[in-house]
Amino acid sequence: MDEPLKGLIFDIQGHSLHDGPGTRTTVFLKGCPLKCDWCCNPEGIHRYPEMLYYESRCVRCGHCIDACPHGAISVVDGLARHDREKCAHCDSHECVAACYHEGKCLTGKYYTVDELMQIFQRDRQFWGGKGGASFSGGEPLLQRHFIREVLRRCKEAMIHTCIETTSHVQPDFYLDVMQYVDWVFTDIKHMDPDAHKARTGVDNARILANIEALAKKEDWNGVLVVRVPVITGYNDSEENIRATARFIRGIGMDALNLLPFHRLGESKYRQLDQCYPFAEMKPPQDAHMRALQRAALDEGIYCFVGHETPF
Amino acid sequence: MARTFKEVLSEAGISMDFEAGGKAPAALTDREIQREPHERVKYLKERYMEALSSINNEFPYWYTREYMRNDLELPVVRRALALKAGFSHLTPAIYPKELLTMRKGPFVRGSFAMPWLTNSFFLAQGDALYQAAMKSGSASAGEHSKFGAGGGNVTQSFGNVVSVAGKFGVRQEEVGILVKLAHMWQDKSVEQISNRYERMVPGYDIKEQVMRSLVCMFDSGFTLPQGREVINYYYPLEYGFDGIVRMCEEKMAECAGDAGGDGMVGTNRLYNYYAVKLVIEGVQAWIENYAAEARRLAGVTPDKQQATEYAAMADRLHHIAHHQPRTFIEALQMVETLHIAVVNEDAISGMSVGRLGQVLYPWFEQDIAAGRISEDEVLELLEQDRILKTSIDPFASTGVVGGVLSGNSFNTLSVGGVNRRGESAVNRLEYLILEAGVRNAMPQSTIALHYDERLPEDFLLLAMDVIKSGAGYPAFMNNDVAEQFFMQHYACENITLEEARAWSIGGCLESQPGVWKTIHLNGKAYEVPGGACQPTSVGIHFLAMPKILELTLFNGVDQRTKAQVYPPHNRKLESYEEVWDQFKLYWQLSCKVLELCNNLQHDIWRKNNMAVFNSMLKPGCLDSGHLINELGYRFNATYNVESCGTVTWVNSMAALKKLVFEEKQFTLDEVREAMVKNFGFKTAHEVNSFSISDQQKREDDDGRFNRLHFALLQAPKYGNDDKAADEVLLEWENWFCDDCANYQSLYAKPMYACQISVSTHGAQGSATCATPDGRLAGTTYADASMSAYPGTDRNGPFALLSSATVWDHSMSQNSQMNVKIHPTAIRGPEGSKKLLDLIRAYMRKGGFHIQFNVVDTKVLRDAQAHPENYRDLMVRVAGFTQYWVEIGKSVQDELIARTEYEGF
Repeated sequence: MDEPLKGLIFDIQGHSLHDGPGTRTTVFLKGCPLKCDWCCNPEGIHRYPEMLYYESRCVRCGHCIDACPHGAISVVDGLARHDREKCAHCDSHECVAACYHEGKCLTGKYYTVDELMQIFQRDRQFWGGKGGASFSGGEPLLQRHFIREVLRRCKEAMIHTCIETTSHVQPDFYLDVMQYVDWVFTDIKHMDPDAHKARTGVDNARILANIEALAKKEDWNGVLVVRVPVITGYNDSEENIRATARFIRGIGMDALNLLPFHRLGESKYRQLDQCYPFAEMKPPQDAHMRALQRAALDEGIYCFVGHETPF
Repeated sequence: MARTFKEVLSEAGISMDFEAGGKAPAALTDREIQREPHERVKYLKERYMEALSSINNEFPYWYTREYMRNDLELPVVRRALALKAGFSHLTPAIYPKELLTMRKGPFVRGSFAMPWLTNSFFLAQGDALYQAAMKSGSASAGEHSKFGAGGGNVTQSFGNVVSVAGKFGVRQEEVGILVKLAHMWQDKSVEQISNRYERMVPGYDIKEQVMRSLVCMFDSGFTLPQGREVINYYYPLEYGFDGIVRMCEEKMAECAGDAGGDGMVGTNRLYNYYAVKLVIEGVQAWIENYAAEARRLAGVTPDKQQATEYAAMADRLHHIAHHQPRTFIEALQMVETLHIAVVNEDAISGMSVGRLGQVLYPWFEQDIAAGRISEDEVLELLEQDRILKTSIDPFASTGVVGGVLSGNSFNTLSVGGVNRRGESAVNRLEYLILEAGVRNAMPQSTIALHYDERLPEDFLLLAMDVIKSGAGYPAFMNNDVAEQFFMQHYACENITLEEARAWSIGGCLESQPGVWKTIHLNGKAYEVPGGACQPTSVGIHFLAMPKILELTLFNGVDQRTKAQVYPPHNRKLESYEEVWDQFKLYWQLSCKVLELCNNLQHDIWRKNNMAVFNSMLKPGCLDSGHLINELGYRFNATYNVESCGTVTWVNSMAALKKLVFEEKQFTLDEVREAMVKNFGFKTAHEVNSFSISDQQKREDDDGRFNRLHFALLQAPKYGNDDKAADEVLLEWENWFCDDCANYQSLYAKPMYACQISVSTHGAQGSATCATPDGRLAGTTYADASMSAYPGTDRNGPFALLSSATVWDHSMSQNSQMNVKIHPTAIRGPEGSKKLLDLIRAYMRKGGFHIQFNVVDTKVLRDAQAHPENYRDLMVRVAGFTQYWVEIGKSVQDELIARTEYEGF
């Protein structure tokens, strides 16, 4: 027998209200091809399980230091610091087992397709008429074979599916897998290729091409909603939003969802021994978000700010 | 081609034409539910907020005087004469601007003691009362129950006001009379007479231990002998008081000396009808006193409009003192009057109004049709009704009123459900009742919505708005599950499906059967539901499951007091089955002795202190001539066994099963030692917080329990769709719900399971040592019976609701699920629909009850630190809504700790 397909997942949220129409169950897959410096799910970037360290729960007992076979843990200012280079090669995670205070937890757990489907089958009773399964990340389309099979099984089980994607995905696979997807949220971080590359690590050519191809795909009749995470001083100019809106209109689509930057991911950076670069950055002003919304409306498309969506 | 957004929305029936180029209406994007009451109601509410809970001696003085004078009279007549004297001497108190009136005593928040029920409290506290510096009650429950320090509670004496029972203020000069009255009932109160007989029950010493250790929260027969039931307003609404008196006179003539085929109590009918007539005369005199006062005020009030209002009020009161109400406002006044009359007859909490919107509909419909009243005026009246109901303070000792009730009176109002034919029973008046609940959000009447698939969608969505206003109501109750419970349990009294449909919530979530009656108004007939059963939540009160587990693990010895509560079992407890078996034996031992003792208490109550007025209202006492004490009610199988701490117990058993008996990671001795040592933590009383999240390690702790404690905390927990825990719950429910039928009430009917915690999870948790689920000593149990222990439901609400429905809720009178949800999670109209989806799914899976606290935990923390800024903050506790500042600290802590669900 073949080893069953497994996917690496870092969170499953039931009663998810803002990841598609209705009430949903959202699965977060680990691994992402982009490196957006404002990322609010940094634990979703790497394609391997990682240890998260919760300083506030640490009682400074030192048990994890004794337990680590790699000598990766040191003490700085009374708190544990981890050499994440060494951690990257560790798959035994003795430090997590040694902690009795939940100061260390593992993020990233392997699920089989069946296990995931079992959760959906349980949760679907609670979704109500419009809900379904959502897939986020990371980039949910990165674990190709797994996600394709899960989406196919959902379709078979008549479960409404939604993905939140960067669209930075191999084009043939992208268009193929969409046959199992009912609703797509895709990010366009910036319309300018250089600016896009500067803070995500990749340029936007493939992303825009994928989105356009999907919008025009003859045999696909799902819903496509573009999202822009609005980052102060980066992509929050009226000009960029208008350009995005024109792109949307140009490919025959009509919906834009602006998501104001928030700092909710901040604590996760500390848990990963990383420095959070935006501790000082303010979320965009509400008035500015309204101005951007007006600009997009002006271009003749629907525009929603944050969770003020009609679905 | 991908579909455009517009196509998708129009398929869903949503028009988006306003959006392109324009601005979405505020209602779509930003709807925080906050509406104001009418000006008049706002004024009256301010008066309520300023008022303090007060007692005086008027009623007890006249009651006692008349009772003692008639010492050779038959018990029922003697009781009736005393009640008549009490009612007819109550001083009326009418306040400016109010349209509805009548209250318990002559204060905004008036109450009074009933020493004929229980007087030991005053006897014990007499000296201390005289010194005007009384501390909390002497009973164990009193020590573990503290009221919220703020609000209208008089927790400490000041000036000329003496604090009684930690809640009520009494004028200094009345203290002497209060204590003297208590002495007059020496050896005569229900409490003291029944105690003489209780001592004859074999195993009475165990009962004493069970009460002292707080395995059981409080006695039944003399604390709150009635309540957790639904009043029936039918007879006065149909016939008027004069009509009922006439009926009694006819019946007396018919029954005098006639056994009517019943050689035991047949001849009693004469005395019973006579007693009813006497009490009604007292109530009529009381209403006429109010009418006279209104007339007097009309004459001396310079303000013309106010004087006119007083005159109209006098006219209404005079009319309803004798006849069927003519208008909606008269019908509503009649209902207020009846309600207060019933709660003045006995020490009562949880006397619920039932399906009021359906009872009052005849007057509403005809007044609206005739243009006699507008919907806005109805709304104003319904808003004021909430003030009157919230002003009712039940009187009992601190342990009961604080530890169990959090000062709440549970005048629950039910909406929804189905009519006699099984169609949706929702009417227009019920929409207004919900609306009034938003506009004048106050704890009473809390609203119970009987959910049924047949209810209209817009009504349910309106209910979502009410929930979102943060009022904590309506709670959702499952109509189907309740009907199934009635059909099973009341089969012993031949209930019909039609009768089961007349059910209602009495108390916080005690479902009970009712009957249909036909009201005739101006030639039109209306079928109305109403209460028809004895009090529920009587019998065996609140058995602390985690405490009994503690006693099981420690050979019957209480780890807090070191007392031997149960006889030692001397078993080695070498298997999970052995622990479970011994737990059941101790549980049954408690039930048996409490069954017998409480039956005696209720028996003394029914012989000397029986309900006359409340009894008369309930079908079919007037038909049969027998009151509550002679099985006059349509349904009498209402006694129950109440559990508390279910989920804490389930988690404890699941942890023992896995770690000690299956995987053998730890020995039972290791677990026991860690429990006694509280896993190296300070006690909750030292830390002065009863929430697990605030507990602190002892300074000298060497960490030797850390591995064990961690393993226990990580063991399977209820609420995660984890079979290892959920199967423990299932096994418990199947056993418990069956076992209850082994106990018999004094009315010779089998008991049933009641699974609500009210506030006892705080007080009983406070008396329980650390438990094998990792919970620390003295901290509260998981609330309710289906809520997860705070912080342990890690897989979200779907997993929680799945765990909760592994068992059939219709085996039990109720179950209880409290969920805390963040306001942002349910914003906007989409948020409303999603919340309804969640509730509906739980109901479809067979959940009986769910309710929500829509509040940010940060707000609660701030409210605890600065109560002065939060006088009107309301929270859902466990089956009821209460002002934050009027609940005790242990329950406040538990509310803060509850897992908060946010949407992402």
